[in-house]
Amino acid sequence: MLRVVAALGAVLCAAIPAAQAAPDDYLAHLAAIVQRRLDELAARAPKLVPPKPVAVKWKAVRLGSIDLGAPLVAMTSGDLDGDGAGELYAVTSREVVAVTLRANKPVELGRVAFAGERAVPAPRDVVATAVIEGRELVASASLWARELRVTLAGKLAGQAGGTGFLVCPGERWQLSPGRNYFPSGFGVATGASGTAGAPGASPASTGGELYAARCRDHVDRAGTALRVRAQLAITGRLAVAVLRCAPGAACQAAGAFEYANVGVAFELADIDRDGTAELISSSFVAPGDPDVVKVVSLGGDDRKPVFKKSFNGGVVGIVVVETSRDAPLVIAAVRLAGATRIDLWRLN
Amino acid sequence: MRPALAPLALCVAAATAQAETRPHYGGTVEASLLGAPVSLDPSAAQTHAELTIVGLVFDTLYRVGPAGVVQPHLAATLPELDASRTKVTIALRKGVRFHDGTPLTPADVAASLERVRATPARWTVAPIASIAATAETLELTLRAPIADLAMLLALSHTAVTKGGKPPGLERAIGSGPFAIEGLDRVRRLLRLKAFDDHFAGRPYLDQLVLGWYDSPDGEARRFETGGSQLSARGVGAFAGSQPKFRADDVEGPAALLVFVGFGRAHADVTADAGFRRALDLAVARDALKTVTSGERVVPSREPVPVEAGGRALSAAARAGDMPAAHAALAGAGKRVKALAPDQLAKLKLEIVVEETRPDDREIAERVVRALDKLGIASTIVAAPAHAFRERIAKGAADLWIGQVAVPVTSAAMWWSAAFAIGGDDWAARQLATGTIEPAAAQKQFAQVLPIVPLMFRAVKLWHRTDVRGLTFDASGRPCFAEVHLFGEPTRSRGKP
Repeated sequence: MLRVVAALGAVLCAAIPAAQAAPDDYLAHLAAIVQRRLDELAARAPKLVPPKPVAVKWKAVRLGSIDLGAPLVAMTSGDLDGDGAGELYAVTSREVVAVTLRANKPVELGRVAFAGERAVPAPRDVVATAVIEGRELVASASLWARELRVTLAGKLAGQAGGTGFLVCPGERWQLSPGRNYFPSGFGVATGASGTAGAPGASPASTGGELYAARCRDHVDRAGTALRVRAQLAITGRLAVAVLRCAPGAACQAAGAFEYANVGVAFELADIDRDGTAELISSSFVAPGDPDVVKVVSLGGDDRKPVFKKSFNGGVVGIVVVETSRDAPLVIAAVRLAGATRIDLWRLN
Repeated sequence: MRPALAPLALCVAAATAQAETRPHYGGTVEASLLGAPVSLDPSAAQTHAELTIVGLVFDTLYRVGPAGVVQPHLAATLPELDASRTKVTIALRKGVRFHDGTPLTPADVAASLERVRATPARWTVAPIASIAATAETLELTLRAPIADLAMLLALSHTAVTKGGKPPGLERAIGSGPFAIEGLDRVRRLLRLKAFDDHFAGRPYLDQLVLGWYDSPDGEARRFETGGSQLSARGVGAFAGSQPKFRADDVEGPAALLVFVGFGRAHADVTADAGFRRALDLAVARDALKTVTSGERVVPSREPVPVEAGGRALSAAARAGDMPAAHAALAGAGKRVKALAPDQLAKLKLEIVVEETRPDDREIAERVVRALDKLGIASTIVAAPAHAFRERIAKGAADLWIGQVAVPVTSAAMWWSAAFAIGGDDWAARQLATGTIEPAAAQKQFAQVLPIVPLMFRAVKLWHRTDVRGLTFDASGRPCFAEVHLFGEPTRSRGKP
């Protein structure tokens, strides 16, 4: 079910950048095509099932450590091998490292290296993205001109893909030349149906340069698809917009939230299956400083986090791993500045 | 003081500590150089100050990364050798530009290396018989296969200038992370601005101001009153005082060799190997530890640090060996009239130091003490940087205090640099054959003593708490391109 929702999102996201640069008649034509595709997909989409709330016990447990051979720069999770349980994918400046959790211990599944031409200019600190697109991981690192598309069918394999940084399915950004952020021209409004009337600010209104974006889908208590999009500005301000996408209707704004002092490692997911996503985020602290991970429910009081945990090192990655259990696992990767070894912590 | 987390990280583009929150761009930092720069020409760079500037304004084909590993920089790959291992092809990165916007081409690299042949740094290209450029690559023919080629091409002296021409004194166009904005010799300031199009990423700072001082307390005062954000003198320079802002410190590798060089004002004396050996044996190197501002000091009689396989001095050797020194001087006295016992009292040697390197005067005082123990009178003369460099070049001194820095882990580079700076081309000839045997180098060095090594010292920098990301490269140069500002400086409370 979620895959269908994701497909809807991909169509919308892919359409937006092209539409922004296109003449009006083309835009109208494109909008019509998109709407028709959406209608077709919606008509075929199976009925979404409302989530069943689960009790989540938040407690940080160190799972183990892995030496990646280079500093970790991005991390995500996905079920590329289709076994029903997600794997972790750690992106370094050199390669993608696949990790699975067995008996609560991290076990490396394999590595696949970036290759080809180096990017010129590249920022001094390596910037990377990692996005799951279907059964592929699309990883980009600023040292390399082309992305790496990774599959896990029996063994980990990769091949060079396009240029730029895939930040959400179907949405590709380019870094400001030689800098560690994306220029302000990126960061589009959420959803083709627009966010007019949305309470509070939409991500587009954050303006300025951006460090990262996340697009996540889940289902609310009524069984309606929700699309959550978050954009992190270089000021540490995270803007989150939620769209409700009822079958056969255009997506409507369902909420907008802002959070200050958010670090580059953050994730959004409905951990407790209550129909509202949680934001799990690191802190906006200087590189190398001790870090804090906070968990807040979207719309909840930011000053009263559901969970808070301090770390001596910096939190460089936060991922949510779907498992066969009722609630997904939240995993944080922690390391000292510049270290190639990361500690993996389970937070729930 | 809180030590930095990664004080020995070596700065190589895109290999630095990654950001949990990313480094921010913008701001100006004022820091200090360890002396006045005389030249901005890479091939003429000798001092730590000059090597630091060259590393900021120019680029080399290779850089020395963590653990002494050479990594491609302007080069796209490591050198590709043919079957004979004497024909070398080096592909260059595409899209590299000079500060004036013109592309950096293989022809610029070839011309730059060719020019080095006619400079005192010619030892760095000694193994290369010919240099040619194609549209995308550099083609080298070696006199013999050499393992250290990439390391040689990582040395600052081989940095690329536009058209291979020597940069001007006030304006130098390179391709490095910073471009020169202005050199004010009266106010003793060099202003650098970030080069937006640097191929390895724009530096985080907008502007970097580097100053130099002729007294230790001048620099310390500026730092302690909040005038500069970085200092090599740091806190505690004044008893009982504390700086306006709290300071952390970062120390680099002990990669700066301080030595005694020999001039030709009394050529019969200073050229004699017996005299040099006597001086070498007489200097109590343990005493040199008190000269610095608390940074790591490793006394040495060889120009090779322990990290590169050099021999550590025993406690006895660090104290000096006066009986052996006197014996060596007695031998010299049989060859050199001025060193004969009945003539020694008439001999007075002059030790020249550079006035903007205040530590050098104190080091020279230890040399004066050693000469005094040998019965030789000496005086110290502090000269402005330009005059100092001219006097050394002309040999118009008896002794001088010099410094040299190369990547700390490479023995071949240290031997080569030490012989070359002493005006001896033995090591360059060895390099041309492909290798320098450490045992042979030790033997030759001990016989000739082209310089008298005194100590390896680290550079320690104190910085305000809002200055982040400071590391050193393998030659002990601060990596200012990685420095960034974050938050506000913390005010001092209590003793530093």
